[in-house]
Amino acid sequence: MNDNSRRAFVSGLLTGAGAAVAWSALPHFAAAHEHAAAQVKTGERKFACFTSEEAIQMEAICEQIIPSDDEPGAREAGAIYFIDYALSQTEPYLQPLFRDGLKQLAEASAPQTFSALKAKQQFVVLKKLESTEFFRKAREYTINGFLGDPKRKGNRQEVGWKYIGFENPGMFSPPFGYYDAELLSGKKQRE
Amino acid sequence: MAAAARYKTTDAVDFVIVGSGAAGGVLAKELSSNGFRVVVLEQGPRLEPGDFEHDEYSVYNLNALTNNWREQPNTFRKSENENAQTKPTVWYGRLVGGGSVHFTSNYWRFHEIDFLERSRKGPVPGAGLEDWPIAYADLEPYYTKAEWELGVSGLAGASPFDPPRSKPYPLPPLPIKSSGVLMERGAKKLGWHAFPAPMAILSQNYRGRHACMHCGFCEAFGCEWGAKSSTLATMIPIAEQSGRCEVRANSYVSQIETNAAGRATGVVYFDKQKRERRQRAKAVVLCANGAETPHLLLMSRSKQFPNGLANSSGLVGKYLMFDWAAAMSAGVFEHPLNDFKSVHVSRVIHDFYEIDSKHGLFGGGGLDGRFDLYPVGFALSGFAPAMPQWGREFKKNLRDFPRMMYVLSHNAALAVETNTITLDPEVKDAWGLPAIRVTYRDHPETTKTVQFMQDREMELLDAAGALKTWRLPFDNRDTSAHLMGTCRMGKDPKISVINTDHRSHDVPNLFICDGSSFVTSGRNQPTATIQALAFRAADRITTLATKNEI
Repeated sequence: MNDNSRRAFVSGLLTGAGAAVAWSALPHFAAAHEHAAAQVKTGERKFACFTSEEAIQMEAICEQIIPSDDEPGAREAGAIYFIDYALSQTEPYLQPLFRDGLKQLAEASAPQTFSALKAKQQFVVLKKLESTEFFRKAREYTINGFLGDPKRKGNRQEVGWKYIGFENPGMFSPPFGYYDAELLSGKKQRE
Repeated sequence: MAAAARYKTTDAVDFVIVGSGAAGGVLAKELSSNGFRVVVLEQGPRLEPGDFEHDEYSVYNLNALTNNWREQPNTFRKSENENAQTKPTVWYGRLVGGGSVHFTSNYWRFHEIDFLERSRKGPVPGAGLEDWPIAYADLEPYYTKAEWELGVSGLAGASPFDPPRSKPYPLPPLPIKSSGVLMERGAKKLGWHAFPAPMAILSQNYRGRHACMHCGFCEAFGCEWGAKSSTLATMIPIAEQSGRCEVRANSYVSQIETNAAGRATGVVYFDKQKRERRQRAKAVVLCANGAETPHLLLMSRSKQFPNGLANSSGLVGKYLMFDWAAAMSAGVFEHPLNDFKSVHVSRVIHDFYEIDSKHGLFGGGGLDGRFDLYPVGFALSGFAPAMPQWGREFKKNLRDFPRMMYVLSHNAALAVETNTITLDPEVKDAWGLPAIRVTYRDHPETTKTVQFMQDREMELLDAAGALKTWRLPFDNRDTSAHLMGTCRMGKDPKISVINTDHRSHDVPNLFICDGSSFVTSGRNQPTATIQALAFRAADRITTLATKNEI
């Protein structure tokens, strides 16, 4: 892990911790959030579809859907980059749905912005939007950004796959799991 | 080796085949090998094994291998009294090889009961349950032919419920997986019989093709090794090597044309640039699947055939049967199964293929142990609705991925006359053709059977030692990939669309062979039967053509 990625990972952990301890926001939460926002401002993050502000709000949703805790979540996987890629490259017709959804989100979070809310408040706002088409798509695309093929810009370094225990080398040979291995070794012993 | 044929659209070839999938691919190979000149028109593109990737977003969101509902919308309603709403409903392979490219590769033969359930167990009020006009014994040689020509792995005689067979499988079963071991363990406790799954996937190299490498991406994906026995990997190359078959991809047929004598003269289709073309032919063979076949017949209405072609019975599009007659339950176990590796199914249970009449239920089904959800699909739809669908607990549950399996039941769906494919009166596709409108609601007896089978799934998971189990709902399905029954076979032209030669009752040189030919759904694993029918139809059609009776 190089310095940059370590920094990104640690910053993710802090915001993640805020999200994870949802009901008692850590004092560091706001600072961590500012740090993430500063990253956006310094131009480390580039988006083809989202404005910087939209990206901050969208990513805050991603973090609620798959939070960062002691393990990477949607943020470390770069789920936001998958969503930006899909909306700009492959499914631009979804842009109005996401833009309108982010407006709904802003209204539901007013007078603050969604990303500035404490994790518990964010949770309450999203619960209200849970049955909307926007939330359904936000969830679907966050999951794709966490667990999809990394060539689509999300699931960076396969963090999502590593987290759930999936591998994709393109071929395997038996035994595949514990129970078939147990059966095979039993058979061998009998032989 | 001869080069693939190239025909002019003005050449009246012997046969134009609409669709290159499970049935169309077989008919193309058989008819061209038998000396006939054949053009196959396929809606979708020609892809090669190197084009197949492990990218869920591509196959599920971008419809890389299937119909794209943004271009070809469906509308759906539960009954004729409702207004149909635009909604993805029918899902089919849309490329050379059709659904045989992306299917899971379960390859169950029908059993004897599936052909004569009406006379043995029926009738069922409200259902259009009929016997087939052919019996299992008529089709047996063709199941065998399909298994050997395509390459199917399995173990003959392993299931005490199997129908008689004339020859073993050409290939031994694929390796057992942890889900298979647990199926066996549960079945043993319950006195049931788990047997090696028959799969149209090569367990060993076969006829110049590569054995399965266990990558784990079968269902919904194409096989980059060519180990899945799709018609793209098996039949299409042989058809082309005959020098008499041209497979024309990106060709979307909009109409079957007829002359004053009521005979088909060819088809109208759109090419890749959406230009209208006409392929002339001496006979038309329709293999477009259980939804697109009636769609095309209904679109082919004319002054002479005002209700659509081959529709004097009024039954084209009716008696649609879906794979919604299925249920799935999940189990989490102590140790990793890693069931994301290799083919999806390694053990099947047929103890409830015919449910004991003491339960007062119709039909029956089969159970398989599987893990056919990939990482994204697992997270999206692998948990029961009452479980967390996002947030911390959800994320925690995602970690059960390697320790999980599902049991899926595939069950008989009763044919119902009001379950239909019709033309939507308003919605059009990107070619300006009327959208497929689906009207569908499972017969209440089907739902009861599915409920019974899901109870068996839970029983099996418990017996296998699952630490945690849940049911996935089956009453609110989205799409169906098993499209059956819409041009049913029968001897009486008043109550069927095709005869036992697959010839339409109304148009002597129009043949129909795909899932639409089905009279019953069997236990909802249709591909082996579609292909057995296709091999049989090819024999019948060849005989008729040789005797100059088409």
